[in-house]
Amino acid sequence: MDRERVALTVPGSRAAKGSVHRLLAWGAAILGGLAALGGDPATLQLPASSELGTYVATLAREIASEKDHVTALDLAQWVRDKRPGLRVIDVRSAEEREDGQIPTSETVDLAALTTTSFHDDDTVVVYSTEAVHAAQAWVLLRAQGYREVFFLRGGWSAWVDEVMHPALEEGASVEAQRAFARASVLSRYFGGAPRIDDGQPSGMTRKSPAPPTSPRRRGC
Amino acid sequence: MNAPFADANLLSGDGALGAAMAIGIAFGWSLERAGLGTAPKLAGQFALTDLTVFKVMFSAVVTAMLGAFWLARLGLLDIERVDVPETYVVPQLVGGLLFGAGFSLCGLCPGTSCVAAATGRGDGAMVVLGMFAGVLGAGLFLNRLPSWYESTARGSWTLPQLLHVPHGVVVGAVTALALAGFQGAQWIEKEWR
Repeated sequence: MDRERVALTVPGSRAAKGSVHRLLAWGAAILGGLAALGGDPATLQLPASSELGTYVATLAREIASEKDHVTALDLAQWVRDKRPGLRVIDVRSAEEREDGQIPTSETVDLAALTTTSFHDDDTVVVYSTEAVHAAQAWVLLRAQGYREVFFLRGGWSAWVDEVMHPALEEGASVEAQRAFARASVLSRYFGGAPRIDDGQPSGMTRKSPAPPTSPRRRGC
Repeated sequence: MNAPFADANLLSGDGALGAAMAIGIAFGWSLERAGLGTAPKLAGQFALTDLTVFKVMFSAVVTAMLGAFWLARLGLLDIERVDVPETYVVPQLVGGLLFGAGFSLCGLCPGTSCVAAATGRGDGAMVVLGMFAGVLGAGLFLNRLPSWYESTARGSWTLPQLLHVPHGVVVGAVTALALAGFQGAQWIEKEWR
């Protein structure tokens, strides 16, 4: 038996390792090639009735872990950053919309939401005056299989209070002051009026102004 | 019943911690077995004389990626419940550059420094100390710059979303890239040694 044949039969030899590597490479190539034809592991279809319980449990977990909503400041940051695929959906009535709208938002009636088309990689944020209708819209969209769906916590009211008119109370903690600094930057971007109630730094409104009928649209 | 088990409450808090411990030990053992606990081995990556780090890490990426994809495709893993960390483009690019600079300077990364320290190497222990000092410093000072470290947020951003192609196409492309990379690494090692 020559040296080469001996090497092939000895476990741990260079030749044996080479054949294992080749085998693994072929395995990866086959699995990778088939994956390219396999599409998406998660589909946009409502699960079969046998799996519905699991699906509902998944939604319940998302709600319990508070992954179902976004705060007004986070939404403001997303709008300002022009987050790719972001779609802000306003489900309020025409009368409610007279108070103003979140910049870049689209108006969609709650009843028409299920026929509105979204890309599966869109980030959809729904808002209403408070949050009830928006939360219902969240359930409808999640039930349709859209994954990146949130509702605005506190709705339009939260947008007005937290983004357009953030306030810092006298004697606020350092953490609250930092949060206020961030909110102020966002507020000014959207044409809001941050205020400090004890009359301190310049550039801040001392009194609470009347909410504007519509936030100023800037760059978005 | 499908994974992830901890999220499905099939693993209690202690059970999840125990599983994490076991996986961590296996990870450390694998790194040591691959020789990644020694700084010269890792430094060889940057001198293009020893691309073991590239091969080990890319093998791990491809194994995990193919495993997750096919388990999900077969209905054994609910991939929507697997957490995807959020992306902050600019802060993470800067962090990545800093990480790379530290990696090439000390020849160890967070995982391998722990492995090196666990095997009694002084350089590994120093890197671990430095790493924790950096974590402490970042924790104390970075929250003073929220407008910077929360900038360019993209949420849980994945390659299929970025490229607007099905998940499977990305899996196939990354696998092809890895196989080509392994072949290229072999060639580079042979040429530069």
